[in-house]
Amino acid sequence: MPREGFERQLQQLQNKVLFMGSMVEKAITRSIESMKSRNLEAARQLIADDLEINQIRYEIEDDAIQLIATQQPMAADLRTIIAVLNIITDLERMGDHAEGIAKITLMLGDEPPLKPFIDIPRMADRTKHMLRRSLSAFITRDTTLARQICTEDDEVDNLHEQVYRELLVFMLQDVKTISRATYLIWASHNLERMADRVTNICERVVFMVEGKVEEMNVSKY
Amino acid sequence: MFPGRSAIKWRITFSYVILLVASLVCFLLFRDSLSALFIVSGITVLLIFLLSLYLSSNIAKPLRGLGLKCRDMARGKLELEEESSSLCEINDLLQDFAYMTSSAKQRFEAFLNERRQWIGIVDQMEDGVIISSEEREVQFMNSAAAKILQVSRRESLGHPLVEVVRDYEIVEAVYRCLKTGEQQSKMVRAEGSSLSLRMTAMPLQVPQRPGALVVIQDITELNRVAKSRQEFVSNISHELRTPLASIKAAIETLEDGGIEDKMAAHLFLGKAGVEVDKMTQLIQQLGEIFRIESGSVAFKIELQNIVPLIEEVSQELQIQADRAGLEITVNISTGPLLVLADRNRIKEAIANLLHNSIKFTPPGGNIEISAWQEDSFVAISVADTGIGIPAEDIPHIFERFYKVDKSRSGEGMGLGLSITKHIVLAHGGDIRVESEEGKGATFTIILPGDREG
Repeated sequence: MPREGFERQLQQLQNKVLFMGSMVEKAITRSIESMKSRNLEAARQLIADDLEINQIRYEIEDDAIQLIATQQPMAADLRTIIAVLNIITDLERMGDHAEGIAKITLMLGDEPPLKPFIDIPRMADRTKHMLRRSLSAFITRDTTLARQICTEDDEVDNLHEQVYRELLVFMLQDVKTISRATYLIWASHNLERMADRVTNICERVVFMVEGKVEEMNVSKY
Repeated sequence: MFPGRSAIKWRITFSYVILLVASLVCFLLFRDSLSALFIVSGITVLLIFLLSLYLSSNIAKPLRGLGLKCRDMARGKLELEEESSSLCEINDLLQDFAYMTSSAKQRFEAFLNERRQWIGIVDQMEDGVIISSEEREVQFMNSAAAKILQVSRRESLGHPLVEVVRDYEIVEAVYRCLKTGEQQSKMVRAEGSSLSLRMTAMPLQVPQRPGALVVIQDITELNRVAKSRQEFVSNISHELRTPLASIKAAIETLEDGGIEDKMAAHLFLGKAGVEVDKMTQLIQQLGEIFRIESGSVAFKIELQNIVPLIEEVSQELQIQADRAGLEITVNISTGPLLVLADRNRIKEAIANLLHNSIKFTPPGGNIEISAWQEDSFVAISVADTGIGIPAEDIPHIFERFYKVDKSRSGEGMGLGLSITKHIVLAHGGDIRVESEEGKGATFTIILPGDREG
């Protein structure tokens, strides 16, 4: 197959990663919205839709393997494909975390909310912002941006800690809130893990461009 | 040698005739001398050579120039210098060529102008327009699309659609349209901007350039208006149904024999009366807002001191505040603050703000009313330590029937702030709000004061 064909296929592979990234981004939004509005139907739908994210992950994986097998790429091209394979794993796990939040929504059911949702949606917004830009860094091979995004993970960690402490106070004051507060801590933890996954993506971007593996931000959790 | 312009064939014929005559004369003159004859022949050959050289250069040079111009034209250079030749045919050719160039240039410019005009029209459209090629790359994007999608147009052209749009729902619809050739429509919530979008992807009917035309409409505002109207209808029916149910219950009790018991009858009629009053108040409030909005209310504007008015309002609402476990403090440092206002209306506006603060502040909280002079205006602020207003709701809180927390349907219709704003605006004043969710809100009314100072 001519070289031009390979370039196009590699481009298509990266386009699919962006497509999957957008699916995950929307899944995070929907998970938080279903939790905020206690919309159990939306939460169930989100859990069902996670299959689509898994499907596209396997589709991209197949394409990548086929590309390696038929084109035997070298150096930067090979690193790109390896990065793609790793990024889709991270994205798929992020999708699972969003699904996890939807499951927590189901567990919370129609119990009254403990407090207005402020920090958890904020964590979700930060994470989505990081995710979107990490994939931009992937497309534009921007390692400076990738490194900068990694430092932003601390903000999400801090928010998680804040949510954790706040909910701890609730639990200490009133034992009846323990189950609800625990669920919310799980949701917050899911978001914190998602942000960590974004730093993984950024590490892969650096690997893809510079050819070296670098641990860029060690999360507190 | 040949003054003026003449046709090539006459020049050639003329030259050869002269040569022939000259050769003939020479031959007749020098026919005895063989060497002279050779010389004459030599001269003739030389003359023929020079003549050919002259003619060929005169014809070939402009032709060569023309060839170069053709190349320039092909490269898009339509500004060409006019040239002329002493040879008639070549001159005609050059002029025809110049004519062709200028008319091509005119047509091309007309085409460009028309194209610019179309692009201008598409660009001014409120709806976003994107053209995607069959290879799923952005070929065209108008400024509305760039604005809606928050991307730079220059950096988008020629890039993969998914890289520019970054929304899988839109991208998926475009892919499907490209694949099936069928129109696709979808409602989408954009990430980041949180806009509600309606997108339509239709196959592009251009034979040489298959692709998809994507139209994106921002329907956020439309959705919100429709939703607030829907909420209004459901609110108003709820607000009317509740007192009606109480009245109905009272009537039924009376019918079931309650009317015999004078005391009970009195009690139930009284209850029904209260409910009727509630409904009347609601309808009055609605009528009032429509009247103020349409500008058909006459205001009795007088110069007066606002301080006693504020104290009066705070005292009137003190009972409600006590019941809610809140403390109202009035904080006015300087003496009289003169405003140009309709006393009753402004009192209503301030009472509305206080009422809201009482409603949205948890027990133990504080409400502070302050007033101060701001140049020729007077500012009156009501600050509370309540639940505050989410940033995304702030632009809408003054709209009729707008409620931040839709689940609190039992508490008012969402008319108070709207009435307040209309009263203040009718005075030539303004109303501001600052709030942080969870920390409280501060509403400030600005009223025109005593301009004389």
